[in-house]
Amino acid sequence: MPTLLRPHVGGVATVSSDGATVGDVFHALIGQFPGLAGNLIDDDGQLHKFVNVYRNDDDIRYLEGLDTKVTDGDVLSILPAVAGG
Amino acid sequence: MAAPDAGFADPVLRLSTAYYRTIVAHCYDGLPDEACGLLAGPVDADGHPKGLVSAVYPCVNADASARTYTVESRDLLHAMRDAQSRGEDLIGVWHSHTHSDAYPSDTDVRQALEPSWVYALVSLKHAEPVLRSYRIREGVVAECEVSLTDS
Repeated sequence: MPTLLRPHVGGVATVSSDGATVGDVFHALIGQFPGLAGNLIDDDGQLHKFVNVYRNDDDIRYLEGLDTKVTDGDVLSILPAVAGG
Repeated sequence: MAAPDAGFADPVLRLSTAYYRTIVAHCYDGLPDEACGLLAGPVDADGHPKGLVSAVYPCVNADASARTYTVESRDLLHAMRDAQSRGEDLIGVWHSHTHSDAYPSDTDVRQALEPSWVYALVSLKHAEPVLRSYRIREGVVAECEVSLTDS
């Protein structure tokens, strides 16, 4: 979990969850930690545009996005976008 | 520990001259676009940067724009893992302003998501580059001192 979202999950850096896809895992996490709602998935059900998600070393935007399948032991790394102008 | 100068926020950003040169070179290399990169260093028990920069990561500006920057997400992942493998963490981001001053723009303030980070700006507006560092917390910008060290 990025530092930014840790307050919503009781301050821990790592959480475990289950699901067949990244989207399933995120919905399960939001069910467990309602404070995450709106931070991971936007109102259209898409990955929030200020969030990068890696399944192991692969950016899910180059895979199947929230439909990317996950298997036991996969590590999802969530990083907020670092941007400005 | 000396009290911070009135008007400066903590931490004092302690940067080696070698890292300073790396940052400035990457900014010039990026022209005509904005260049960006990340900083890593030790953090305290609350995750706040202590101020020492132990690594500098020049990154790709995924926007490839003279007006905006986005750190390429693969570079962000690499830098984060590298810093954490050494028991440290990412402590900030730097980017260039090709024609404006080394001060956070409205876009910079709006998109500064990490309250504990330092946000450094390098202005290429004048003949000599200018690097300044800031904390951006809840829309409020506070300048930090930058201390260049020999090494």
